[in-house]
Amino acid sequence: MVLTLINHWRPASGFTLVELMVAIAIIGFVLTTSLAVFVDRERRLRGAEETNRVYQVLANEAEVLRTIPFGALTSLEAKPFLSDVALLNGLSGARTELHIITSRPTLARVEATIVWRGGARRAMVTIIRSDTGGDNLW
Amino acid sequence: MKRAQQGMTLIEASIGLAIFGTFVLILVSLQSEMVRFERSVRLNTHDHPDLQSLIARVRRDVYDCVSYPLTFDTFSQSPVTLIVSHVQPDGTIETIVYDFSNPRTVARRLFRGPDLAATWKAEGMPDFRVASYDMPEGMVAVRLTARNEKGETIVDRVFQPRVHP
Repeated sequence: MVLTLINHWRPASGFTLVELMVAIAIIGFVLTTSLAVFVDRERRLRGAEETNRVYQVLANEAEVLRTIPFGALTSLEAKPFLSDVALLNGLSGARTELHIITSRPTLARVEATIVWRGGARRAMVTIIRSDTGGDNLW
Repeated sequence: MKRAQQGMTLIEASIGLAIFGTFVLILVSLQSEMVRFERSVRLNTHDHPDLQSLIARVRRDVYDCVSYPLTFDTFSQSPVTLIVSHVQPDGTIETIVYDFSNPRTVARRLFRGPDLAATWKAEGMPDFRVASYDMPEGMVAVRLTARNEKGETIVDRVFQPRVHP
């Protein structure tokens, strides 16, 4: 009885408006999802590439900071990096800064920070230096 | 009459194919955009899978080295050759030669005394160069740089040997 009714209401051929809309909605959903995935992938790839460059610069700066005599560390406060930062070229608004925090006379926390994209992204490496009273450890 | 109810007309099939074709076209254009973007990125670790492994080896070898010999065997220090020497706990001298002269290939040769003990090779490498880097306090570090196919710098690392007693 039900089948008879449906067959009576439905045209013999072609799609109804509802069927068409459902099909278009499915295709639209798949396309939107694909587009979102691609855009997110590009954003993450770009971010990973920037992070890779930034961390190379931070590692180089840490290498230089290890060789600075302990007594000369405080003169680096709020200065830019000592090492070559050419790898940061192309990063929008990239700037580098050193901060020296001395909690005890023989201990200093050296923070090397890179900020780019107008402050939206930031990376930092911290090394602890102690006054050994003689040569540097490195 | 019965046949028309079971199948699709030519117009219906054409519209179906057109919709499917549009869908495929959009996916292909997204894929090509993704490939174009990947090529625009400086450092693509998919293209250079052994890059980090090589950098880790150079860093370890430079940290542990006690000297940079000017020559060893048939090799000389140059922008495409890095030679470092280690002293093992038993007093034997190890010499490690990095050869960056071959395009896309990097070879690390380990010599114990005068004898070649091991060779490690990495393929698919960018164009590497080695130079000295002046550090504070008169120390001299090793600077390792690499460029991609477009000439952009993708690796720029400085390694300072540890102080050995």
